[in-house]
Amino acid sequence: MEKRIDLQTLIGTEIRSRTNADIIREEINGYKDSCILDFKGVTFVSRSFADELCSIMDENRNVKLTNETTFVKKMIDTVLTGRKRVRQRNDHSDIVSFSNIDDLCDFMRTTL
Amino acid sequence: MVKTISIPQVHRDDRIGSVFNVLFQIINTCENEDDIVLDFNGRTFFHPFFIAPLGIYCDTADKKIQFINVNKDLSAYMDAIRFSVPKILTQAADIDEIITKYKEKTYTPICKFLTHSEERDKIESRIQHLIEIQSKATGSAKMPLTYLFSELITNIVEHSQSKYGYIYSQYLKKERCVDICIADEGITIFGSYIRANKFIDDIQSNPAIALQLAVGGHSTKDLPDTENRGYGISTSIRMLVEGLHGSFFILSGGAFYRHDATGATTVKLPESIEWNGTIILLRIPIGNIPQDFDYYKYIE
Repeated sequence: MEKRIDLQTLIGTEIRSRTNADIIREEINGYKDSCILDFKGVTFVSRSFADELCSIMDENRNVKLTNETTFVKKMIDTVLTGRKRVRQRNDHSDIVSFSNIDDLCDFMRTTL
Repeated sequence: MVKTISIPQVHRDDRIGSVFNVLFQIINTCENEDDIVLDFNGRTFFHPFFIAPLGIYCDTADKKIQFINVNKDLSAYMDAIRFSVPKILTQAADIDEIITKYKEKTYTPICKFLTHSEERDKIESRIQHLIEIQSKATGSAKMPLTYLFSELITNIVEHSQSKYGYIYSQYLKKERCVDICIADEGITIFGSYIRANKFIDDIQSNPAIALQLAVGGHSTKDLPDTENRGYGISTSIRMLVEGLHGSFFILSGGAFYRHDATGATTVKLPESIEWNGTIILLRIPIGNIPQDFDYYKYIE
């Protein structure tokens, strides 16, 4: 039998934290038939939650989504695409180290 | 013995985080003192990026700290932003009173929230709603504001081991910017990598390297075959600095990282200066969202 989970009622209209995924995991735990996560009324999902949702769907092939707004759908699709891509990092600025407060303050006065 | 520190005038924060030049000197002076008096004689106004971190420092430092010579106007402002006693939020209903009281203001009080409250999403959402009212944020500004808010607060909750988080915001009408301060009193980013036993060979004992790893998106929690986590800070910085032309500053334990239009800088602080946890400053040009800003370009 199909199980429908109303996310607005279960979590709220804005789903921000990653830990909300645990609430969904509890709901679908051990359920073998089709599970529908109903996003009706959900206006925002965070990137972190969307990422966790993708993991839930990887772990549970019986889970499907419905009634996502354009924004919610695009966030999930963007995160899904990002998970399959090799990360490009360009994150290294030089580290400036200080051993005393006077040198640090001089640096901050002149460069910050 | 009581140590008295004269607080200088700090009106400006021209490049984000430059106020910490003064804060670092205060922290350095307080390092070996347990009984401190902050003397505000002659001071009438402070930049929000100075007064909020100072208030959070006082709240998290395990020291007796008193304030003297606070003039009437400054005292009223400090009371309004809850400088000496942050507003504790344990449930969403706590913030309704704040919304009513502050919706006509340009600042929020310094709010202290339980990181693992079941109502944290709602609390976060309502504080953001207040900031949107104060800054008259439009639709194009609301999406990145929500993203930055949720990702950076989630980061605190997931990694800091901190019981409380802090949020403070001030809308600057002239600049059409929102200055937001998010903080915790947790184990720091360096401590988070050590706790997770990740990147230990790279980091060694240098908190600045840990900070670089974090801003580069290297997670403490990646799954074995994917790099699906740890992008909250890195994507937020790119969205804010490249996409919105804003500025970003993060101080965690013994290091800070600053990124604005002029570039990125990572600084390892002297051993005598250690911030208790992590504090993030965001300057978001909420009234000047670039027309070509593509929200999804920055989400991975």
